[in-house]
Amino acid sequence: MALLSVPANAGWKRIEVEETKIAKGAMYATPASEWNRWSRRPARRGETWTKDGFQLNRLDFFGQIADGESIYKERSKKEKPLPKFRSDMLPTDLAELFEANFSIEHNITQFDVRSLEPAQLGGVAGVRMVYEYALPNDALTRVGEARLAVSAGQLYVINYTAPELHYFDASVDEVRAIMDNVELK
Amino acid sequence: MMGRAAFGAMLLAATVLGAPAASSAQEDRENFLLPPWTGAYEPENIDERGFWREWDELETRLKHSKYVVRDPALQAYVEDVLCEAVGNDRCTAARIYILRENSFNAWMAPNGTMGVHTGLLMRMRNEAELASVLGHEFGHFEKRHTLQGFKQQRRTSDIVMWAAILAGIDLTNIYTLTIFEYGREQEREADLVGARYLAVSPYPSRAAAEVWIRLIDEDDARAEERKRRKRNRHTRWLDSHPAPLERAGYLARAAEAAADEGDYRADRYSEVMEPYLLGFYEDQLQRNDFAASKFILEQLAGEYWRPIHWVMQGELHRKRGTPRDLVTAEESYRRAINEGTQRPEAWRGLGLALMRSGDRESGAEALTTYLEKVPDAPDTAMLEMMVRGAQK
Amino acid sequence: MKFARLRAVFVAVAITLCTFGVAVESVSAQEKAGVRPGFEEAQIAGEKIVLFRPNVKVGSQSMAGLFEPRSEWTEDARRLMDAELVRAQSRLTNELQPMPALYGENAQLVAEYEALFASVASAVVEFQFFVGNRLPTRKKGDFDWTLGEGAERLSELTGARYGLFIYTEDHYGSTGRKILQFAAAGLLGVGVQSGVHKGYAGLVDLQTGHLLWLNADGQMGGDVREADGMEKRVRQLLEDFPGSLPEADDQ
Repeated sequence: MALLSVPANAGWKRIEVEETKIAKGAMYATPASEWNRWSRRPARRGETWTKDGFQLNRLDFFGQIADGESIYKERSKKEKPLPKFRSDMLPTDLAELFEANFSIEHNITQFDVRSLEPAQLGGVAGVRMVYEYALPNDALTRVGEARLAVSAGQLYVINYTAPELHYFDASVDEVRAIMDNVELK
Repeated sequence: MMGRAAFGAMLLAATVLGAPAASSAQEDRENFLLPPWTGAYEPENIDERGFWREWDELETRLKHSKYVVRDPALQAYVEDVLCEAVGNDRCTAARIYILRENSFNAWMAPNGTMGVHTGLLMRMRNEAELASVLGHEFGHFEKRHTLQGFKQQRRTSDIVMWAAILAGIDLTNIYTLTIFEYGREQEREADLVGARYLAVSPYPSRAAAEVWIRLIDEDDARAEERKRRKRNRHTRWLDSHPAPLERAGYLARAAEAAADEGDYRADRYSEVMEPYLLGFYEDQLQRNDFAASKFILEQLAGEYWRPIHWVMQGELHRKRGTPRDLVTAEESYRRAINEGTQRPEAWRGLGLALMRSGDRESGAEALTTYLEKVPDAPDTAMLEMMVRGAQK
Repeated sequence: MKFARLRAVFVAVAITLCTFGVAVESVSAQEKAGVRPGFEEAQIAGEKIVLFRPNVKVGSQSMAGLFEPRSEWTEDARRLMDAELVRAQSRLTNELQPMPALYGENAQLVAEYEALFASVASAVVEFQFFVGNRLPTRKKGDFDWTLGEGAERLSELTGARYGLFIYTEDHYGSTGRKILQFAAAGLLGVGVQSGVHKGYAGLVDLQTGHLLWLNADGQMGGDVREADGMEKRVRQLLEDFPGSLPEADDQ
């Protein structure tokens, strides 16, 4: 349900087709079409975009995650502690770190990796992970694609999620272009 | 409350002792201990019909849920254990769904839908323990507790609502914490009905108390790691269940009273679970719950560590990944391999632990073995690159 | 406590609406219907429309906003809904066909699409109809939503070009709830809604996947437990349905 609920006073900003400062300046990218940016941040230097609503597509950016920090903002140390990034992590460790952060943040227990391979994020060597997951009691298969890379000892992540039916494919090319061309600061 | 528990125990003692040692002792004990099964319950009044309808709808949705583990062999096994636990006449009233969820949980709805979490299957050490939990849930069903539970819950939530409105608290998450739990009395009653099923089953009744004691210890381990207060010792207001410690106590007394013999069937259980265990444990490790995960493994392995347990220990420590963890992980994987594990994950884990410790060459060697064993794994491309990188 | 967690998850689905109703009450302007630009009623003339099984839920609402299902109401409502849809047929230019029975993979596919439709419809309500939360890229207000071209498979399965989805959920407030509503409004200035009466109906072009028309309202009228009320509800759900005959024919 976490992915579907929206607080009453959500604010939105239009992301234009132009060079855009993302996650408080941790990244810069130029999208090929317009998006909407949510006023709530998933992390201190993070932000969330959507085209049609979180049920249908969602793009999260996380930048400048330092050694000892989690990817998502840790909301409850006692009930839902998140695993932390370490700068000596292997690419496979980054994938596991993301899986745990994402699953705990969104209360997902059904998470399966479809593929894990080397890829670049904004020209920096890292990993690309494609995975599928489901929300409790939902018949809809949802797919995610994340890229993670470490630059100057700090972790950067871009993650895209959408229902597999229609919506994932509809925006994935544009999303991959953003992941390829993003500038990490 | 204690009165009822004691009464239940007395009743058990009386019926067991009073059973005549006739031709079919087992049959006679069943007749004494369990009320005759009258068939699956049909809803009788307005409230109940509404409830059934709602659960029928949810079950329809459950049928298509991605959370359901669709594994005919595992399904057949769990169904079989339920039948052994509550008897063949009763068990057909339940329709079991195995759900991929790492939490220690099982439940049963008034229309006969029963949910069994993979987290429960992972934590049980033998068939008798699984049977005791399934029996407890079936006890709620037989005693038709859900409806009463719902009414009680409604009263509780009305109180919470008033309090929250006056304090200006956002209510969005409150109900999900407490709704639909049975009342304390009902939990106790289901516990004791469950104990009666066990007493006439092939399993020893002692198993039920043992489950609760481990649940307490697991949460203690978690509380200590997260530096929060330990729970489960005292029953507080609004708690809908008796505290596990109290439960373990009256269940142990009931078992003593029943004084039944039985077979835990530990070997059969571990044999059936072997192919699934690592996968279920990986879901648990994903929750960033190190101390509890360690506790679960130690309880599972007990004094007889099998190769699969060493692989699990390797995963546990590798995923936390401190320098000391990596040493433990490496040793664990090596031990699993030396003792003849067939799980390719042992070589993958060994390779990754070595690489992270800085021994890239040996790491690459182990990963190469893994890739030979599983050429089409989802992470093949990534691992191949890591191997090439290490060989440069 | 742990044993009840999943029960909670299940019911959370049913009650999210009630709690949400409390938390996000004084929602301002809310639109109720959308039609895809360029869609002409004439294009569905004589076409088959498959009716996905209407999802009907009726219950009462305790003081805390907890949904308590009432089966006799739900059964009445479902029966009345079926009867009313048959009657409504006379106001429609197209014949509504019931969903054929499907099994195995086909049933799974229909379930996935019903879930996708639910996701799309809730996105329309949250991010377009709810004006205060409208996405900036949708500020122009064009009604452009889709299930994707893959929906064509539904057309192949059912032999219909169009699909109609109907969903209603009604929680009738208890006395305690009504008192609370009064007290909260008077003393605290907090809006607490008594009852939930939400419904939506959507027409999908199964060959393109486009949502041609959606009617969605969180505060619908008509007591679905009674024939008169159901008539009003179905009339409201199908209000301005593209295949409606002119009102005069019906009166």
